[in-house]
Amino acid sequence: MKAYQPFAILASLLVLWQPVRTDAQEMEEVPASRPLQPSIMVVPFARADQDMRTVLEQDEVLRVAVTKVKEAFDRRGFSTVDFRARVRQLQTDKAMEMENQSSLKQELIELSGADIWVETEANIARSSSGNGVTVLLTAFDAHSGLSLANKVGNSPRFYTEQFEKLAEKAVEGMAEDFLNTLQLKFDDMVLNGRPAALNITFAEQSDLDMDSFVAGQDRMLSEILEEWLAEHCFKGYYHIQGVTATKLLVDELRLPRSDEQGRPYRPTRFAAELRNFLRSLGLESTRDVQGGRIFITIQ
Amino acid sequence: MTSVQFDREDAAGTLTVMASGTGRNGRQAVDAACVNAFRALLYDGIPGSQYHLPLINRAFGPTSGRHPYLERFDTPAGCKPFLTSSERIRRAVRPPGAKGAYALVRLRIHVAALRRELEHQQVIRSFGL
Repeated sequence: MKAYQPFAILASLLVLWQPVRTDAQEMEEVPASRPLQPSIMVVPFARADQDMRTVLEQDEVLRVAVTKVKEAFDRRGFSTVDFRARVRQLQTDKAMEMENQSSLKQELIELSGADIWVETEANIARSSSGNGVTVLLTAFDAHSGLSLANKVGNSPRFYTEQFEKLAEKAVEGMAEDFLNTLQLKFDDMVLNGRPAALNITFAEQSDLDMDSFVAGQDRMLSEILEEWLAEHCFKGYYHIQGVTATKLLVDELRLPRSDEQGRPYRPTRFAAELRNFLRSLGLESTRDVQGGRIFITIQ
Repeated sequence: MTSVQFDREDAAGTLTVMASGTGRNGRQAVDAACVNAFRALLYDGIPGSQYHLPLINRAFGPTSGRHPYLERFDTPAGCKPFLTSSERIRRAVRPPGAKGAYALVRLRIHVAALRRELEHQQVIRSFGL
């Protein structure tokens, strides 16, 4: 009997070891090219004079619509940022100090950390042929304001006062289509880069302007900057809205989704690279980055 | 002589279509209808439904040909795991010009599961950037 003991111990160890090996294998099978997930917040639609949180808390139909939209994201394996939780957090942090309600919305956009906002509106429609609910969904890039997806969904009409059920039906009939459209825009960003905007200006005390010739380059600053943009924007895509002696406005440029190491490429990094380039020309600058909007001020 | 038309979406994640197919016998015609339905859903989209855009975005596929996983949808056996019901319409009007046996089939496809599998096989990108 004792002769079998080493085998029994070995067998026990194998049994214990096996699950660990399986876990490791499963971990290796996770696709390397997992998409970078943007942060998405589903918010209620509110007019400029309305407080979004109050609107949501007072409107049961809207709450159902918002929840159903979040559910649709969940079904695609995507977690959204909870609006009410984030508002509560912001209010605790600083929004309590604010008097203006419309500024809360702007504050939310800037501080929520959400890359994409999905605005949800639910309207009740009563008629002699039955009642219905119309749901409007609008997704936009929180940083650039770029519209990503828009859909209107109508529930079937029933002789009922259960508008929550009708709101569910309206969202169910459009959510997939809405997410597919959103995904098309994401695919476009993967292929053509993420949009951003750039504004280069001069400090008041600066002796330079866009027409200044840069030492050792024998070209105007605006020309040098344009060449740099062509080399550093994703696939060389940028669109100059206008150039004056004091300003260079790029209303749209494209940034890569990730760098060579697969890490997210942020507008802050683009701004840092541009500042380094300006420094190499002997020009000092300051930068301000708000989402996808980059402001460079040459000193 | 085949067609795939939207019928209804009565449960989240599923899609019901009416698909037709032809073959040497009834069995083959039903199989052809099934393959036609999946081909339409994958490569063309189903007009009138929430899946009017094709599931496969060719911009991300191989530069030539197609992903090897997609070959399974050329056969009814590859499509069947994603079918929740299949019902042959017995009194279907045979279109003029249809050769051999003709079948009109109401198919209910579990699109959510199909999409999940295509994502898992890295045929399509998961939701996100």
